[in-house]
Amino acid sequence: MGLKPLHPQQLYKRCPLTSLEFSTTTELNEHTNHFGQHRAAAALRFGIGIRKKGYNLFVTGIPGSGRHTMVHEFLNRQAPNETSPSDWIYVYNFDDMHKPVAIELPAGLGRKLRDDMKKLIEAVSVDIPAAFENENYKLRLEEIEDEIREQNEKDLQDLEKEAAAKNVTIIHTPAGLAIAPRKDGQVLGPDEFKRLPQDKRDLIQETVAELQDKLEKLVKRFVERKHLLRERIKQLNREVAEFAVAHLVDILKSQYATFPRVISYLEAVKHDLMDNAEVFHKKERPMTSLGLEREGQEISARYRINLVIDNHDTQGAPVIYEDHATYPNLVGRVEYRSQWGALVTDFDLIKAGALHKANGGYLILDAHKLLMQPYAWEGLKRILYAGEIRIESLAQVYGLVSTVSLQPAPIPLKVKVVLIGDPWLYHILSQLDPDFAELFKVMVDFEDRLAIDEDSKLQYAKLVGSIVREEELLVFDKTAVARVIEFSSRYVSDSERLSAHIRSLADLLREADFWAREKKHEVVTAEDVQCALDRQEERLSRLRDRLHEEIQRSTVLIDTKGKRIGQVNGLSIINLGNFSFGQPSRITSTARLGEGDVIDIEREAKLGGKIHSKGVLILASFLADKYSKRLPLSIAASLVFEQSYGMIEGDSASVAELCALLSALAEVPLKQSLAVTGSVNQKGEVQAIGGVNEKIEGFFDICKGRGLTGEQGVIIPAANVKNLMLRRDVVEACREETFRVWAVTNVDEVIEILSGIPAGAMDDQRNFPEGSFNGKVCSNLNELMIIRQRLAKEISSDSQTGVT
Amino acid sequence: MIASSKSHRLLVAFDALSNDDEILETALGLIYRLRGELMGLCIEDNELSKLARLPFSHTVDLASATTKRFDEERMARLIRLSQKRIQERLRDVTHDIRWTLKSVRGRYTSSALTVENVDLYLLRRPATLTRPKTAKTATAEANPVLLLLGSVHASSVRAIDIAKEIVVHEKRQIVILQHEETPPTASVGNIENLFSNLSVPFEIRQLDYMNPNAVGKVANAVRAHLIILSADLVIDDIFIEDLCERTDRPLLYVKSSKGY
Repeated sequence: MGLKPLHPQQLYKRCPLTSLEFSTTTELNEHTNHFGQHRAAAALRFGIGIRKKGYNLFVTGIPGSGRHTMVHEFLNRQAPNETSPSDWIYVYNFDDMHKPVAIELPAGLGRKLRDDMKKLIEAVSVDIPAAFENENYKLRLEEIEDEIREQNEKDLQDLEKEAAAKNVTIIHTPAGLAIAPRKDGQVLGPDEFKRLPQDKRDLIQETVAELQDKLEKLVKRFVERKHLLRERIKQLNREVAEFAVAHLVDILKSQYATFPRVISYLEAVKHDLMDNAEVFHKKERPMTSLGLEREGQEISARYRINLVIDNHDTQGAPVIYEDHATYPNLVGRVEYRSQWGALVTDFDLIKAGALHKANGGYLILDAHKLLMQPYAWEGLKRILYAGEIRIESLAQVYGLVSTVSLQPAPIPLKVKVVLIGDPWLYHILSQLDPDFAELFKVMVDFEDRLAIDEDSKLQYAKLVGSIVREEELLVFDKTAVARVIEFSSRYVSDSERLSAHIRSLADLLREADFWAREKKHEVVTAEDVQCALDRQEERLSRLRDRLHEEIQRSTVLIDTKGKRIGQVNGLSIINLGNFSFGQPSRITSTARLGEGDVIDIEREAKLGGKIHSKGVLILASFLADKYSKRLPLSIAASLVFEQSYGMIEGDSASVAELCALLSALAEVPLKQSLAVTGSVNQKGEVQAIGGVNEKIEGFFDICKGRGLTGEQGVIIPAANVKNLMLRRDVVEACREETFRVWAVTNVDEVIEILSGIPAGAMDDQRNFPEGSFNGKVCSNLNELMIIRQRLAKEISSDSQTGVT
Repeated sequence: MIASSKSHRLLVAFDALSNDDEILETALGLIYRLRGELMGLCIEDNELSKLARLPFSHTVDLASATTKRFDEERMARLIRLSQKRIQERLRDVTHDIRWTLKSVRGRYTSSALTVENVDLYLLRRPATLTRPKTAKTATAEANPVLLLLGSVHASSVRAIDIAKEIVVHEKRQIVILQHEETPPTASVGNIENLFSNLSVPFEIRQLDYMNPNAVGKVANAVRAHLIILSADLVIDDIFIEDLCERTDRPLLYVKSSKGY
């Protein structure tokens, strides 16, 4: 007995001002945004440097640890030294309009080709009509038309002569040509025909039939000549168009002579222009046909260049951050426009996605956002495996539509993808997605904390200085920096560590700057930093204050003085996301004659989580092991968190539960002025728990609210001493010995503090000293066992004699 | 609208068996510009009627070279469809214009020109094998008005007025055809001054022979929107009939005021 409480120095680790060799942050000129991330930095350098397939990066760490900033900084430093990627264009495919062709060009040349083609078409739009307005062309056209017409007229005249000789005539009707018998220069009427003798009628009919047959053959020749006329006009148009177009295209070809795919394309353009030259006759277009007006626009549109990736002003490799990683945003899309009530598209409506823009460089994505988008993750993997970008809509991928659409040629992909996500996401993907390990071989793991030493303190101070400069805050003096360092340890609940969480640090610095300015300070001091912390707590602590109020008002029953059998103050933590606080809970236990069951009422009511239940089972095993190794355990015990109506999880109250149970077994009262936190194993060793600072402060607040008596305090696991960074008022109270904190390693130490009597050590016969706490437990257990055995005998003999 | 407030009566001669949109379009354009009354005349060609009643008549389609029976039933059906179309069209577009529609049987040109109490006659024979199709173009400037002028006559003045009305408002060019021996007269005035004052592009051509063949050639070559000829030029109906056979361009025959 006689375990001493912790010294105030053990409750809070100060950052000595002497360890900071500067006066203010103005002296800290070196810029750094990466505190303690050596592992991550090395992984980034490796991941960016290695140029093998599958070595994409997954950057993991807690949000706010500076992942994005560091990744951007690294890439923006590296990328300008790399080669600029090519331009890519899509052009019309004259062989298959549904499959636009992709052509690669050096950066800047895509734009030039696009502009050159625009000028070419503008020139052609003038030159072709001019060529067709040329008198020579009109003459040649007339020649061809006249020749055919004359042939037709001659044939018709010959037939007309033959018809006239046989007293029949050829009549032009809107339905075609007809043969009719003639009399006196006019068609023979039906009445007159009927009046003719039969042989004459037969002759007329024969003649008409004969000439009808010849007429039919004649008209067939007309139709054939019409086709011939069309072909000859087409050929004429081609010759004229070629004359107008060829030299313009040849000039362009000479400029792109070293690009065979461009040359092939220009050749195809030339032939297409020649084949469709008549579309450029503005004056020749019949005004009654909307379809032909549209045809003109469509044909001109063929010769446009869709500069889908334009790197003319890209310096080095591109670094692209896509913050809305939907499937179309990643792989690109084919857009549609509404035209005359239908949706139409063409190669000019192909739009680039983030992968296109990042091609030849780097693509940064948020992993969580990526996984939330339908098919985005699968699509990305497919593309990374294939090494090319194929633009398809989701409907096409899933085979939901079978309407005709574009199938743009795929573009080869060379990109390094950097995913940024939480650690749990990384682990889930690693375990459940076999593709992940193939494609994202480089893990960049950000620390959330690092050890305090002189160097790390200086680096942290420099980080503070960098943020102060970047955000144009008031200068921080060394007291302020020291306080910030202490905050950093408190943030990770570890006096031997500093937090690597940049966001919370930046928030504190901004808020301290604000409060300093409010007070018209010129320099931010420790007082301003403390003020910022206090105000933060004030903003977030409404719920805590209400709950503590209910305890003070005895709505929730918590004793902070006196002694009770089977009752202990346990401590729990309530986490509200960005604010956590502790509060005491009354844990009670009952014990009676039974068959060795320790009932966890929380579990029975389905309010106990698995870890909590495990803790209760462990203490039941401890009980049996320590006190009832060779004898049956004859108790029925129950444990409950009084006035708790929600889920309870975790085993950090298992020491308190065990003490309550032992108190009930030993019938020894325990001090209510103390609270206990800690996890116990089967050997009675007290293990570390989380949230130790909040738990101590939670009980302290309740005691302080009722007035500190000097008897109050908290018992914590010794393993948690290094986590202590308590509030100033708690440390002061401990210094004044109005409040105490004990650190324990085993249950006996806890029991001695709580009961005030020695726990008692087991001798070789497995006996505990009489009068000791353990002795009383054993004694009562034995008594219960004896009672149980006697009852069992009585029941047995009663059953044999038939007595009920 | 032309200066004279005199109302016109325009007769439009439809070939009953052809679905001729162009003459209808031209007629509507004219009557809205000139104001007045429209009289439609569907003319069933006599010769075709006789042909249809013969028991062995067939036509050979020029587009496909297929032979089909041409009987009364088919002819009547074609005529009915054509008339119905013309009626519907007139009903749809003539909201504040008076119009009538009649049918006659006879020769196209003479049937039209014998109708009395009409001052303007619009005729057009659609293209056939021997009457080539002249395509209209997208811009009005490419289809000028062709005005045939002779010596002094009241109908010349009216023809000139009508031509001016059309070219100014429709922004068309005008090609004026005259016989090379036609003297300028004081009453007509200087043709050049007349049209240059209007700031309208115009051209004067003088022909050796003012006959249907020559006029038809010019009409086809310039792709005339409308051929306007006044009664002073025309000797008889045969001129008009012949001209109609040479070109598929619409022809507006302007009678003198005495004829109306």
